[in-house]
Amino acid sequence: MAVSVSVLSYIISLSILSNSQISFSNKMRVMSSDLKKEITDLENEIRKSMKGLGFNIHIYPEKQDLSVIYEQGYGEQTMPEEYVETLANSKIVTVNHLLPRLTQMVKWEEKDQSVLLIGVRGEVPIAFRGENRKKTLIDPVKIGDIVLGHELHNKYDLKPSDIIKFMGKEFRITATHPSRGTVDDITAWMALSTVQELLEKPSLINGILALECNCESIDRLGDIKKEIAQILPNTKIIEKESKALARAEARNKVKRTGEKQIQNFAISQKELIVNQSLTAKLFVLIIAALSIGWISYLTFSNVASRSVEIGILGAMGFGGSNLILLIISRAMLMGIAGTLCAFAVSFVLVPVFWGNAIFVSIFMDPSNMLVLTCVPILLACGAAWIPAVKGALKDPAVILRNE
Amino acid sequence: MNNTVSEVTLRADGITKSYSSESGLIRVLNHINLELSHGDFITISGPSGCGKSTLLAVLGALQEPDSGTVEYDGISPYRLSAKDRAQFRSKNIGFVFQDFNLVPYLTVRENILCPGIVNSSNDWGTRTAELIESLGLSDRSNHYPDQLSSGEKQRTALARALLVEPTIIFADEPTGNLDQENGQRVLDHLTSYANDGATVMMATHDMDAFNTGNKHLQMDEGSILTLINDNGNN
Ligand SMILES: Nc1ncnc2c1ncn2[C@@H]1O[C@H](COP(=O)(O)OP(=O)(O)OP(=O)(O)O)[C@@H](O)[C@H]1O
Ligand SMILES: [Mg+2]
Repeated sequence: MAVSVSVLSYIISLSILSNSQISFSNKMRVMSSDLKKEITDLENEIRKSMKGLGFNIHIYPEKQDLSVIYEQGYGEQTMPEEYVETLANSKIVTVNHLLPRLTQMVKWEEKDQSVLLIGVRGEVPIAFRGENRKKTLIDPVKIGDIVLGHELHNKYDLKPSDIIKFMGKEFRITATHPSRGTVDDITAWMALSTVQELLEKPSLINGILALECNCESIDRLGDIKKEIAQILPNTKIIEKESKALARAEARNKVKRTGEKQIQNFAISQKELIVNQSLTAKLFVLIIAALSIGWISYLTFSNVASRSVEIGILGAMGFGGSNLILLIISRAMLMGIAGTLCAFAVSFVLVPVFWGNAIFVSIFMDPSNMLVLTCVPILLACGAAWIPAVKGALKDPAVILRNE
Repeated sequence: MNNTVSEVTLRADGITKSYSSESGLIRVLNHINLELSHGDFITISGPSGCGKSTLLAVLGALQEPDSGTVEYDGISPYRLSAKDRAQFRSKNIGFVFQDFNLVPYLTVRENILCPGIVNSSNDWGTRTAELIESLGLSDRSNHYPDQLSSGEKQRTALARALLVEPTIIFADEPTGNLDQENGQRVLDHLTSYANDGATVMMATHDMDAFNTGNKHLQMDEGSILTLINDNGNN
């Protein structure tokens, strides 16, 4: 009877134990998936802010000597205007806006003024993006119109809608820019075709400005170069202005810091999980020790009444190994019966109280089953072994009198 | 009764037994010499603590004496191994105790069968059924000890002692926990068993029980005071 009770309590405590183990591992699973989600969230955040920080590049003809570019701000080499269409019709993903241009420093004969003349065509829509393309970054200048930098309109007191003469042609001023403190202040913008005509460079351009280039990798320029080189083999690409470069540097730094933070976060979370699983293991050990201790107590406290039996059986003629065998086999039977009984009860109780998942995890785990069946039976036999051996060595009368 | 050519069943020579206590050794049995024959029903009385139970245990091969010999028809049980001695007990000796000493998780029937398990050569079923019948336990045979009255318990214990038809039965105050009527039933059974040619040795505080047998032994402080034989022989 005590054996069955102790076995049942053992199984139930094991069930509770497994339950706590399972809920703990569930918690850990939830925690680690939380962690993963947090990391991807953070990564997306960084990616998003990276996108906002697009950068700009210049595309020049391959033959263009870069020292000339840095010297005068534009190149003398030209390339076909259709390059920009080729690029726009490709499935380029790293560039958002494409602006072909023809640039040259010219003399504004009428005013005896050096002017940086830029022919612009407005934005070339990137074909495959269709309707989804972003708003145009730079308003195109219509044929017959001119836009003037600050120095150019300020010095000669010109206002929008004034008509001026430039290189022998008449243009209407559509916009005047405020001072920017750059070469923009002596720049005049016209339609690309007009400039091609004025400079006698039909269907030619000397640069494409690609704006809002996005590249998530650290080697952003390398990636873009690779992509463009596949589409336009005869070009060379440089990033526009060191300001943008510095910005990109900063951007990468932000990304690296973010990554580092993610790593640190992950490491600290991992440490937390390891610590918690250590505590859990300790907890499990303590519960296991307690339940085994309790069962041992229950079974061994049974020794007294077991001794009377041994005395009686001894008087009846069971002696030596016969007696030991009898007692142990009885204990084993009791252990098996108790275990079966406990199983029957827990087959009902465990699914009801802790659900099927835990039931399956307890009873389908072979090592668990091994422990569940062997430990109680072994303990029952072990508890019987000591009085059995003792009883076999003592005279029955001594046992009977002492109990 | 045939007492003239009584054959010696049990011979005890110079039995001594001492227990150690805080105040030194206590001698419980002091050079006991005794001879018992077939058909003897010997009753023992004496003050509490004089050594009656100890004597029964030593003679019944349940407890080894410090010195002296116990001999059954030439066999000295204390020269046997513990296992062989147990085997010897199961074949030749029956016990009845004051507090019954039934195995609690066995039924009446199983308790009675108990000594037979060791002597597996026989089929004890018939014998058990006879004993259950003759001791009036028929409607109790499948009950457990805690469902029985004291009288039924003691009759079960008696049946158990009688199962293998031992040459000798030791009964230690078998009526001590029974009322007059049940006590008398037990005594009657023991008497008739002795009359069948076996030996019965009974310790008792009860005067009626003491007078039941044909030999009466008075003990005091581990020694035999008197041994009265109803036939006048001493
Ligand atoms: N195992 C033991 N250890 C120490 N002393 C014991 C032991 N067994 C018996 N004694 C002592 O031996 C003496 C004789 O005991 P025993 O039981 O033989 O007496 P008894 O005549 O049967 O007494 P009662 O009439 O009360 O049953 C008692 O004083 C008892 O205390
Ligand atoms: Mg006694």
